[in-house]
Amino acid sequence: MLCAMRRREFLTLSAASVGGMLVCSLDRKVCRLSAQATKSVRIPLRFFTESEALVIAAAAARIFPSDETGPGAREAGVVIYIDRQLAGPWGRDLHRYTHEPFEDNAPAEFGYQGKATPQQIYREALKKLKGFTELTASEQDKRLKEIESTVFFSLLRRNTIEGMFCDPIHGGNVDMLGWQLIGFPGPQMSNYADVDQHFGEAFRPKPASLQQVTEVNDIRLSEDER
Amino acid sequence: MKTLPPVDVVIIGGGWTGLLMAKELASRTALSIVVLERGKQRETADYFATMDELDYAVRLQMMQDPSQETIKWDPSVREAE
Repeated sequence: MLCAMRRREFLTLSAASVGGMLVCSLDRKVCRLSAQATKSVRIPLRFFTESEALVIAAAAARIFPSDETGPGAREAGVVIYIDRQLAGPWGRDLHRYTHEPFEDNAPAEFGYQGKATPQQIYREALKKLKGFTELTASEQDKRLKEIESTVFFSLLRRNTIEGMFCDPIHGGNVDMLGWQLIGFPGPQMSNYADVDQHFGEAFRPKPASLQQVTEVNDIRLSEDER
Repeated sequence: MKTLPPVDVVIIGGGWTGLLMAKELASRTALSIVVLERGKQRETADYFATMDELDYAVRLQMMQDPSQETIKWDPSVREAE
């Protein structure tokens, strides 16, 4: 209930900065926008404030930059993915075993054994990243290098990769940009028919998302609506 | 405690091995067999097209809820062998 009472924060992006086309699974609606028709996009945020979202977007764009090889975290909507994940059960550690003893310096193979939830880790770390968006790219890299060994950075790095390559149903990998980059065809149920048709030649199908493959159109309920 | 009628074979865990053994025993012998599987009821729809790698494998939704019972393993056991 508290969640619903909270004043909604929006992330305003210029349509050009997110690439030409954008498919966003926001508010359970999928919309397609074009830079020609729309000047800016207002995306409702579920966890971040707008300034926090801009810092995360900038940091993710340094971890997975857009360059001559193709689009990166900015175009793939990684910040939206991270916002949704943090607002959901994962962000609140709903399914993590959180009983004592907590151990912040446990060996890596045990995974994270601390007490703080991903929400708390992000919020705390973001306090120390004020002004990050005003830095130049190389200054941002330097700032990220300084926090490279923190739990926050390892989460951010992992979440950035997830947001690049997860199914678009989670809010990232917009337009399946990540899959197009690496030539992943998506969760194809079968390639049976393609084997004969493309026998002996390289076969790179256009990726299809879970929703396209299964033709299931009911969009998954967001956590605050369950 | 609930007592179930006695059977010849009880297979604990309906994974790959357990289910294959159950199928083979059922088709080759006259033994009565029960397979025990814990957790909530799962239907075909739970496996087909509702969850992806992120939900099932990375966030562990395929497993028993890890907040109730954590993953347990002891690396020292292997080292001692």
